[in-house]
Amino acid sequence: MMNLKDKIKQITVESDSSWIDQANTRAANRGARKNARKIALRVLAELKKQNISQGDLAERMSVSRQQVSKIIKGQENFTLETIDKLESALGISLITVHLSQKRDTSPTTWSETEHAALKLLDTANTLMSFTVPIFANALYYKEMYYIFNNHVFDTMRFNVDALTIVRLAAEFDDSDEKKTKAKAALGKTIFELA
Amino acid sequence: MLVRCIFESNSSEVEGLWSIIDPETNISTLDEILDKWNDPEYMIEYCTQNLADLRLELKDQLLEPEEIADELINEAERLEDLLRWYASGDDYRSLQQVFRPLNNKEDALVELQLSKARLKNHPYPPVLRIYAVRIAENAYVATGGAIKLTHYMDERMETEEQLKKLKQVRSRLKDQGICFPEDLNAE
Repeated sequence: MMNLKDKIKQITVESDSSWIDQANTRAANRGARKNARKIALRVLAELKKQNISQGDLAERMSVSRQQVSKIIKGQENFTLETIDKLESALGISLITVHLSQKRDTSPTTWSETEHAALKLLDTANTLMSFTVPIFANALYYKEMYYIFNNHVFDTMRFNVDALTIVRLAAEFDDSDEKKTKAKAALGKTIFELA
Repeated sequence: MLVRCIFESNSSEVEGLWSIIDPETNISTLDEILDKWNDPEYMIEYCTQNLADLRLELKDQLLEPEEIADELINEAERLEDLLRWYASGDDYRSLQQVFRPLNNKEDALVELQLSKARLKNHPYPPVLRIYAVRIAENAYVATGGAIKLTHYMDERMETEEQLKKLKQVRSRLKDQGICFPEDLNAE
């Protein structure tokens, strides 16, 4: 009699899913992809608002339809020249460069430490999806003070994440089992940063 | 009905995630839904068409379609991270922590249980669902996914179709002899 493994094999096609490769690529380029996606969403919203077709936009920018398609799919690796063309074609501002060295809450001018802290938060949020409070605790003691003091949350809507982290930190369980599981889960990344 | 392996453990047990295939495109429905959820053009269109319901569900009347689309793509990324985490390791035992019974009140494990995956903690109430049929303790066949905007699945066409598909797949798996209830409650 066939067991479950054999039966599943019998209905499984030979070619594996390409999902894991695509998902790993998406994750590896997440920083750039997030910005490309935000530009894509802003452009799509403007096209609708101003009643401009994608073909019209290509003409206004003097680029191919394929390039516009890449832009609105969030797949374009933007050059400053392309951004300038987009801004001119739509009459909008997409990026701002700050010349001052004063503290700036814009994501483009965050320090490396702030980037690291946000990366931790992002990871923690993912991890909290499957409840590993140990990370929240590590974040709370090592990074949260810094982040709060610099008012990052005021501009980035991370406040809900922050509250969740603080709440989970209160429930912290310092068991070796959780630490081991957590380390296995994320490798060195979070512990090196925290 | 054919399925495609999304990821599978190397152990002798049946552990991992499979997905049904769209017979017309030969693409797995899981690949299809995750591609859609990562596509700004698809998501902003969806958000524009369902703006009122989304604002209600996300408890924020001020959000514009592009802002909601951004939030939903963030949610999709985190859900995908969750699956990547399981796909990259050997800890398939806890895949059942991601896929839970479709009915929130259901806690017993039954054969070919209708299940769903969603985020548990998120800045907004999570609305993305991946649907699957459970075939063993930590093994699931994904049937699709949806943006769930109502309490009951049959209140909106999108989720009602997913519910129908779940039941169809369960029935086909049963017909194909993939029904091993003794595996489910084993410790």
